[in-house]
Amino acid sequence: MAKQTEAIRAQGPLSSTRRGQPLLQVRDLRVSVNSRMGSYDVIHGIGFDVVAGEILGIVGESGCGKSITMNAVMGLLPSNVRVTSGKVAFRGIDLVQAGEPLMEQLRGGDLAMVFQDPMTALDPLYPIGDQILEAIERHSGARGNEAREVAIEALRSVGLSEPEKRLSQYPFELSGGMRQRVIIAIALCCRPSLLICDEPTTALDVTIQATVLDLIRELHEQLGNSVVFISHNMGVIASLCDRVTVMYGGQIVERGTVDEIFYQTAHPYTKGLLACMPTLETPREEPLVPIRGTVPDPRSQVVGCPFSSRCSKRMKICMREMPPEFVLEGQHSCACWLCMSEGLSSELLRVPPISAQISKEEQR
Amino acid sequence: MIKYIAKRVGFGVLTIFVVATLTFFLMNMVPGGPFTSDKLSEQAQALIMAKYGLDQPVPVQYVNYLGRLIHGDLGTSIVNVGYSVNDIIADKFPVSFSVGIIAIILSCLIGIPLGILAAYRRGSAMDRVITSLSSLFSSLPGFVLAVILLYVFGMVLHALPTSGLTSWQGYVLPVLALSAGPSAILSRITRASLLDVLSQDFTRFLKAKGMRTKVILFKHALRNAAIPIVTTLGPLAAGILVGNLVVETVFSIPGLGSYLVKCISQRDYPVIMGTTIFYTAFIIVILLLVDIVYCVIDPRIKLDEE
Amino acid sequence: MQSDTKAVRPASVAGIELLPDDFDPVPLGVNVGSEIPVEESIARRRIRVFCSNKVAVFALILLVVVAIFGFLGPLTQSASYDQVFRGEEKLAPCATHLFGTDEMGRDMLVRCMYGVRISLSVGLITAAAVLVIGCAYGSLAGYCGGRVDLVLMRIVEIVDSLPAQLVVLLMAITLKSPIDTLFEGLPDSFITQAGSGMFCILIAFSLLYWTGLARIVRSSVLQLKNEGYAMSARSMGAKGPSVVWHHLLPNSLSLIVVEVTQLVKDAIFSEAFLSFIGMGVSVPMASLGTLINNARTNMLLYPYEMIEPTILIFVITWSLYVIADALEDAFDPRML
Repeated sequence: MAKQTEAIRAQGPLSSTRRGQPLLQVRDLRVSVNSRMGSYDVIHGIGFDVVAGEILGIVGESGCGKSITMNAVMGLLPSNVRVTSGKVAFRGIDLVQAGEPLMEQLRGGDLAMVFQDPMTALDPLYPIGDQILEAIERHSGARGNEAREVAIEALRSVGLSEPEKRLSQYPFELSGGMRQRVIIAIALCCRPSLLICDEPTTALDVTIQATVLDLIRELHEQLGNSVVFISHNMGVIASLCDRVTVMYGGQIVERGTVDEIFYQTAHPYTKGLLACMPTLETPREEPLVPIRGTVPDPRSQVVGCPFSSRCSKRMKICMREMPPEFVLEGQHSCACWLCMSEGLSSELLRVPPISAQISKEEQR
Repeated sequence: MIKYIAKRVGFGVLTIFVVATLTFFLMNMVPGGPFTSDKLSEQAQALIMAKYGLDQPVPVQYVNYLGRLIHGDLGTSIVNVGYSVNDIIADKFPVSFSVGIIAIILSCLIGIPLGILAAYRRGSAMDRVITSLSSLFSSLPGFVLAVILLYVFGMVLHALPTSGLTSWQGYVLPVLALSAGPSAILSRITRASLLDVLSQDFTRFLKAKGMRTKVILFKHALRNAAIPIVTTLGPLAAGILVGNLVVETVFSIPGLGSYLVKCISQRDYPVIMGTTIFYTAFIIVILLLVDIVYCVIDPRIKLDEE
Repeated sequence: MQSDTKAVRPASVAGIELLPDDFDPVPLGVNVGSEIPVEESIARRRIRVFCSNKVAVFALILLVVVAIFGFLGPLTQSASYDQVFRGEEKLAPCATHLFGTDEMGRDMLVRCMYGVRISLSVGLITAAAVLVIGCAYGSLAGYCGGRVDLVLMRIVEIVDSLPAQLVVLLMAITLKSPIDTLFEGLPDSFITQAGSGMFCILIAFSLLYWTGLARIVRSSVLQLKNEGYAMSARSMGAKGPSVVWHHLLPNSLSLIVVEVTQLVKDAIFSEAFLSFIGMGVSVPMASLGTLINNARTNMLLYPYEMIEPTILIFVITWSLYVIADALEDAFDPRML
């Protein structure tokens, strides 16, 4: 294990030459919840890659499993939720198999996460300087004044005025937007190669949302890191991401580049999400079309496509079998029987095994 | 913060005044007065009444009483003539206090670590053992435990002295009897509030920062969980220091508690009254300490009051 | 681009066999999402969560058995609690006296039954009184808010900083004679047998123990006051008290239930303690506290006299503790 971390350190920050190679590879990830009623799956064997230097959006309604997937990657699942099978390879390390000591070194160092609600994500009893310094001292080995300089620089980089003064302020003295900036500063202070943002703007005012999104984009451009951005807001996804993965009922139903998802939408669920998003171009008289019904209770064992209970284009097979992912054009693929019925594609997406370069590192 | 504490002190003084007034009028409700007895002649009774100022109208007595109280005079015993309540408290309370403070420290040393352990190993066999023990000991009234301890260790095993505080062994049984219940309550509260804190968002973010479990638990979670713990500890400490009447009686400890039980049977009203006021003041001081500890733990509290 | 393949469908895809009519449309029904299972009712879920805690069910059964022992038990016994069996003093448990007899030759079984009856009565009566006082006081403070709330809560703080045991003692002493005179006119019953001391204790408990409940109800009312449904009820013309009664109190039910269960336990504790130091029931009536105290002097010779009431009081308080714990879980909205 020590060797592996050495390896990470030796690689140093991600160089631009490595851009485009997969940084995080998830394969056949299954997550289940144990409750008093017994255990049930909430993530049904999904696989995807995060490429170095990209911003990947994961979109879906609440309860579709997007947060659980990324918390599983981070090893932050609650005690009653666990990964039952699958691999999560990050820079050559299988995070599912990695022990807690190694995960502790990765989290906050090379693998960072920002949460939804900035009001509750900071310890209310310590000044923010303390909370940012403990992360820096944990991961970078900087101490004392040196660490303080890093902290001040991190706070300045997220656009907080008077960063020296901020260090001694408590979270309750800051507004929601400022707190989210602090949280982003903490997440980025150790230059992670992957930043996971779990709906970081949902709990903020609309005006602040935009500035926080700009900040994430700016910092991404500066640092060249990968970002996984979880949201239920299609507009946010469209403005920020390179590629998009749409999730429903613990499965990936559609994926592709932003253009593919927004202009050649294939899955009825994605179409539904887009239809209920107003734009300036939408004529005022035209009503927004909500998706009827609600997300199925994960405890009820769904047969067939999870969206079939709400899908207006459903067919007999949808009620019986979960569709495989059909490859459309380019990187675009979609798990819907309509792709086959409408003759768009019969080619199946084959998620490649974890790439050789990473497997090699894994063996070291 | 000073303003905040001043406010609490002011409120404490008000509380003592209310308690003093209540006890005074409650005691005046008792018919016949403390000296009504067939053995004494009417003349003798009247003399004694005059000596203690009890022949004056009630409002005058009340004013005199308050006047003495402001000077810190809690009255004089009418059974042990010549002893003032202040003397009695000064004589007896240190004994009670020494037993009580040891019991409080022991409860913290047992209860809080066990609570942390149970929360940290939630759902494990260890957790179940600790929670079961906690339910066992908090359902056992202190005096019952005192009697059981006395029986088993004192009388059957002859391992420990059963009365008095002449040696350190004398402390063992009363301290155990006093601290068992509070330890159980503390472990329960510690476990519950720690679990609550550990389920909050910021602990997840601390984990996401890569902080070690030890740091999350002892630096962050425990400090956040401390407020409910301190809130429980305050009244609990007051309860131990005030409420050891029975334990002192069972183990024949010459403290204020056992003395008070004697006074009750002898109807020594001034002592009962004075002790009540003394204990009220004492509880208020403890609650004030709790408030100050709050300020130290939680930076948000100072601001709320300004 | 592959539109020409539309007609030619493979027989299977990814191991899934395709049937000829598989691609026939199935229109959505009127009730979209009707496949979602119907949620069980809240009461049913609470009962299920409670029953899933085996220890709590056991404790509940135990408590019911002890209650039957205390309230119905004396009816099955020919002896009364103060009946003296001459020549049968200090008997160990035997066939005629299942629990033995005390040093005056009184049947311990019957005395223990009465002790349980006293303990449970004190617990229940105190709980009932506190429930009324605490809910009324708390909803008043919470609903009125402002200065009324401030004054009312200051009173709560004063009551909270009283040394409870001592105040109960003081009240028991001072209330004794007025209640004694009150009792003189009453016919002989369980209440007069229990004595004026008992009655004092009940009054004192009711006057001291309501603060916790009042705080809970107040904060629940404050919290819920501004939530939508209470506002909408008010905007539709519902009067203050009716809003409190119909909307706010049921919502604080969970906390109230737990607090009251714990209160029953505390009242039983305190009663036993006061009886232990001789402030509770009047002789010859027995309470579990007096029974333990009486047994103390001779406990080396007749340990059963102490063991019996000790076990009974432990069973009662332990059951209540476990039940309160399970109720807390059952009413916890986070529990599924």
